Amino acid sequence: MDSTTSSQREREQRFRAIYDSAYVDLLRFVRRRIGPLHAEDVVGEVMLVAWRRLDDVPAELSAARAWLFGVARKTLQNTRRREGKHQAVSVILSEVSHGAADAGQLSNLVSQRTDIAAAWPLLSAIHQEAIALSVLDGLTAPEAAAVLGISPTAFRLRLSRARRSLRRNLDSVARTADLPVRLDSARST
Amino acid sequence: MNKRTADKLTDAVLCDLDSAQTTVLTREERERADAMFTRILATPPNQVPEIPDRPRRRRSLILVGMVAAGAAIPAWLLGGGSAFASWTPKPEPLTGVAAAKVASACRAALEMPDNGEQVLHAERRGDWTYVLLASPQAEGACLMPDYLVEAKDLPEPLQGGFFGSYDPDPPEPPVVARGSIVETEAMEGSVSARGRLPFSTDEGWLTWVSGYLGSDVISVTVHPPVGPDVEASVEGGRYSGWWPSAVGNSKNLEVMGAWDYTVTLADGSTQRVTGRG
Repeated sequence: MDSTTSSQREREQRFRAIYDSAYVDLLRFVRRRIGPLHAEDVVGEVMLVAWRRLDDVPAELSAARAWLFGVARKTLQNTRRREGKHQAVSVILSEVSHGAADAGQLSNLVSQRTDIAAAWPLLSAIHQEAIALSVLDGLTAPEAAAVLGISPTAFRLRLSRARRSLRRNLDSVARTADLPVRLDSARST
Repeated sequence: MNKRTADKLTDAVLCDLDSAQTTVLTREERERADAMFTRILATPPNQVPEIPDRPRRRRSLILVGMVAAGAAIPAWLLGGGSAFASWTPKPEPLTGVAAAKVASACRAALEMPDNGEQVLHAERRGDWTYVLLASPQAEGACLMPDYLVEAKDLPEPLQGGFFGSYDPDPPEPPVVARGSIVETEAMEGSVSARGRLPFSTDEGWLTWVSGYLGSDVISVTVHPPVGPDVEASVEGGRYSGWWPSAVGNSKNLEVMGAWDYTVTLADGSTQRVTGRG
């Protein structure tokens, strides 16, 4: 067999392995950041980069996944740059819906969901990104650091600050929620 | 509740609120993923596309728009549609009065004070005129449709497109090896209507590059990933060129490739270069 053909087949097999193992996670990564509408287009761009730079993609699949996330983040950043937006890529959470069953459930979890949904948008995009990479995208500190292009130590520090900021926002949201009526409403009655 | 427990509860709630929880593709999603895989394999491997770094802007620029309440978008155009239908790969150089006229229009559009900047490049490609004004103190560049060059008073807001950059503190020129060039700016913009989502249109995109020449380089040709070769304007140790492009997406993968250059040297020889010096 021709060695060129063999090499091409090996490349395709390797790319297939990366594509199959990371596609869903990459799609979810992008959807968390721009929503579902154009996520597949972005995934296509990222996978094309991976195909063309296959030699640069880490051999280990978990590290390859983080590499793809890093390319996706840069792709999204470029779009934001065109729009004059900030460098960090913010993360979208689901909206909390209050079903009938919630009315009687004052469990910790239900109130936490509401509070976190309210506190999350108050976080800076940098802090949203740090928490999401760790909690939602499931990356280790070194992998998340690679996505952001910073050292693992710097990432751990950023994550710690992000968590502290989220806790502060949660306290603030909870205190606001405890108020029976808004002060301006109270004055008007 | 201690901090660690609180964080664990928070993490659990965050996962519950994850906007991309689904881990299984639908049949339609799987089919699209498979089709995309096939399309990607059909593209040539071993090329390093520039997409992750695009738009490459290796210098700090203040980009100026002309629309009231305009956001600071790195590069943009307004209106247009089929604005680039008249574009030509070979520029028509403008000199004398014509060059002075476009320089004046560019200054007005950028609100750029006249500090004696030279008109390094002034060229037309179809209905669009490009001009580069430069001095050690400041630089400005504009890509304008005809109507704007001819306008006595600038309309507010501008219609039909305008693309400009203004740098009141340009960096030192790079050192460029003989037989080579250094690309210092590469930007993309589109004439799509403001407020549209990214990736939502493939109409009216353009790519704009400029940079510095090695001392023996006398002409520069850009090879875009798609479309005809582009003859750049070359003067004063600088080159500039632009071409209509398209936003890359899964159905349009070829436009995402890298461009490169062929330079012609004073001795008549040519070299294929990347623009990285």
